[in-house]
Amino acid sequence: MDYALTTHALCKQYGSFQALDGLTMRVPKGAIYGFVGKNGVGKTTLIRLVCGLQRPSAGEFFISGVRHTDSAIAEARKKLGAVVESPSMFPDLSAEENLRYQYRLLGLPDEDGIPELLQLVGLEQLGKKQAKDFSLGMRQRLGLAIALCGKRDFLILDEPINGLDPQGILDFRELIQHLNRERGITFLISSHILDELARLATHYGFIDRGRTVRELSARELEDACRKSIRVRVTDTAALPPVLDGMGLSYQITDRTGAEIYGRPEISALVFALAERNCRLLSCTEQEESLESFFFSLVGGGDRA
Amino acid sequence: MRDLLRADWPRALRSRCYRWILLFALFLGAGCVLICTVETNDRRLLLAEASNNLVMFLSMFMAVLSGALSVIAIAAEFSSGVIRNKCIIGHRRSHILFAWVLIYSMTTVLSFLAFFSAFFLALLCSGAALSQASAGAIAGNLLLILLFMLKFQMFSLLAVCIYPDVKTAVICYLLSNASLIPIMLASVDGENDEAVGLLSRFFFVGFLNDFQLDATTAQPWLTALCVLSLGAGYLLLALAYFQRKELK
Repeated sequence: MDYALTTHALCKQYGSFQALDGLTMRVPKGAIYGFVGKNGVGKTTLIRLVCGLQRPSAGEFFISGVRHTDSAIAEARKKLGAVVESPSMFPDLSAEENLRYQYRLLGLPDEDGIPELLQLVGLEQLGKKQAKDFSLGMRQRLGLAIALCGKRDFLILDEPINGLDPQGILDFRELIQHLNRERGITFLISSHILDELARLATHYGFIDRGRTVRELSARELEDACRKSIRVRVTDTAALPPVLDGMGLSYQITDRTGAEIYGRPEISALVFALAERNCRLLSCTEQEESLESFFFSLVGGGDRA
Repeated sequence: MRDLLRADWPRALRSRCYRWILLFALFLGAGCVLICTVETNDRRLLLAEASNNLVMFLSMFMAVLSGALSVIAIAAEFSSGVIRNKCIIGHRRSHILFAWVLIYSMTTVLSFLAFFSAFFLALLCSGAALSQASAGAIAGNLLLILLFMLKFQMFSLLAVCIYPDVKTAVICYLLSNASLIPIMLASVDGENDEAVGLLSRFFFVGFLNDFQLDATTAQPWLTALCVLSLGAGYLLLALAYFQRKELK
């Protein structure tokens, strides 16, 4: 599998504070990689390192296979776009002028793509309005447009939906999905809004105290968070032959309870159990959310 | 680096602050001569009168102002986060710094040209006897003044690399320049002291005490060497700071 970004035992120390402590992660090409962690666990630090704003204390990372210390990294970074913390733009310039500035920085010969880019992020009708007069949502969209200038194939977005209204979040999600689907752009998105991330991400990386706790695909996460039916019965010994016979996966949790994964036909289950002198006492549907899965990984009651 | 110049040069020229500084340079250059025409009725003495340390003082003021403009423009890149965009897309920090050096040196040269164009044009219009002046001496002194102005630019770069916040950088830059006043005072009191004499060659304020634009300056190459070495020192320090800087 090709990776847009891989890190290996990456460390970053600020004085006595260890912000990253041997972080290892892999972002597959074409993925929308949700980067999840509590405040201060090193998400933004990692993004700063990858973007070349700071240097790692130890370890290494590769952008599209190019090691961060290689001379070719400058060329590899030309395919990388990022919005780190707040969108970066000149407040006294209009959206179009900011994009023109970025085009020049990238050494792009013609600026024909600017109107299309403005249209893509929905800022085509702003005219000469200066960026300092933009709303937060407009600034986020312009930040994304700046990050998209040129032919980028990897975008890093640090808390991109912070402060956006519901419509803004919806628009942003659709835009990211469109860019991922139509242009094959890989995304690394750090976000606190787990429910929103759950609607977007194809892969996840959970980070805690500067280390990756777990990496998994959306499918694997779905399995980990899969829906289950929690049943209580008078005799759990009757459950295995019945559930095996119905082709269901399950887990006996205690002397009277079990978790059944999938959707059994309840009446058939009741009859089958009754034939073995076992009564179904209660039946409740369970679903673990991304949020609860996250807390089960990193522990604690602090919010992500 | 070409891409950096292509992006930043038009922005520097379009800056409203910079346009005001150019206008101010024209006004100061012409104003310097105007003050002298009020003080002297003899047009033959006008060049000598206008070439005394007033022109040096005003050109020093222009240098400080041009440096402050660079501080504001570069610090704005830090505060708006645009510097991040440059790093993210792979521009080397040394290239970013040298692009600033080139751009703000050019804006300084333009301010210098505006100031002295207005100065000499005003002298011509006032009927000053320019033909009597030594073109070689004037050209040499103008070159020294330009070097001093460029040295201020290097210092402004150093200030903004250490203090990327706009207000802090501007205040530190101005205060640091104001701290040179004791050197000027020392060079007035100790004109015959060799050490003070050498020290004054490094700094504009010391240099202007005994200056006449239309007269040959003593050991101009030594002064040029002193100014260039100090400017290079500022630049190297700025580069060292900027290379190590942890951007947010």
